[in-house]
Amino acid sequence: MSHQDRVYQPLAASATIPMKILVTGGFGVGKTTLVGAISEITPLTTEAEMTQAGAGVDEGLELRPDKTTTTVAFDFGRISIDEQIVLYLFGAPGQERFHALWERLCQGAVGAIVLVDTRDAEGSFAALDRVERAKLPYLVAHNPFGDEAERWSLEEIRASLDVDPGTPLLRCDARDPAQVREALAALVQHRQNLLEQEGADE
Amino acid sequence: MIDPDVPDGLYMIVGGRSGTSLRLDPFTLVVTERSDTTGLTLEQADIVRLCERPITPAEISACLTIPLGAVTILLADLIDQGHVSLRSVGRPTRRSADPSAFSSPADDRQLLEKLRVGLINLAL
Ligand SMILES: Nc1nc2c(ncn2[C@@H]2O[C@H](COP(=O)(O)OP(=O)(O)O)[C@@H](O)[C@H]2O)c(=O)[nH]1
Ligand SMILES: [Mg+2]
Repeated sequence: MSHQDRVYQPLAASATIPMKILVTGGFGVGKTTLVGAISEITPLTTEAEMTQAGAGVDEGLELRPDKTTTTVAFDFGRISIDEQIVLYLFGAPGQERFHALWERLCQGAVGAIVLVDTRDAEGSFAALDRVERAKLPYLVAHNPFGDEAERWSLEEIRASLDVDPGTPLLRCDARDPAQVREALAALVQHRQNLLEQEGADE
Repeated sequence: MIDPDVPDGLYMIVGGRSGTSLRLDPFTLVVTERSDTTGLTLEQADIVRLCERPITPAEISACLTIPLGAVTILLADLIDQGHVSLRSVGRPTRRSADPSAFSSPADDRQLLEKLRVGLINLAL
């Protein structure tokens, strides 16, 4: 067995309910840092060979000899919430083209944290666009590098990234476990609020 | 023929198999049902051992450094043979007439509240 396996900490035998949250954003925005700040295991990386998205041809493992493939790695961590619930946090970049793996990853997720860097508008827009299309509930977290928090108020960030008034926006230093914990709890709260609204609309 | 999710070199591991209807969530829990690894390939035996405690395909892939697509195919065989099973989660949806439809834990208000409170109280 590989080296990674020897350091892997198994889950409790009682774990029955996996839940998951996507952490997305531009390259270098702090996705891996955020997952590592709060994960109970050293973040792991898995490789998936996947198809380059063509027009509606990506159907998982179906034979498609004409398609080109690329390898995409995504990293993830884990938090045991109680005896049954285990939360998986997975980081995936926002700018890749749509493909079956993304769909499979996002299906059934509680939601997404979109990490933004005020020095990288393009990466931020790409990630926002992606979660919108995946129809995932999300919140936007500004990871302030250097003095970016002093330079930009949250109102200014909301306006410049065109973040919907109903979407939570907060600051989150990806290196700080307490801030990461708060962002995760805020995302769950947001999902709960959306479910309540849905229920009220029926 | 090329299977899009399985690189050429992996045909050794997956026994030349390509194509399966199993669309597995990388974060679903898998557990061992039958520990006897007689007749299994090395990789399959490794998976059966790992699944003695609940584990996800993503974790299996990372631990054994086997790409996710290949893990999925290996798991499909192991499930067919009754060596491992998926821990079913969620409850039947009330909205759906299809009894096999299960709701996601992410739509379950009670579970979301447990998750939120668990996060707030998480010792760092
Ligand atoms: N100054 C500062 N550096 C950070 C912060 N978050 C991440 N970094 C650093 O930025 C780099 C990229 O972070 P990483 O998590 O790998 O980004 P990813 O590409 O989104 O996964 C790393 O060297 C981190 O240590 C932050 O909040 N402030
Ligand atoms: Mg990263």
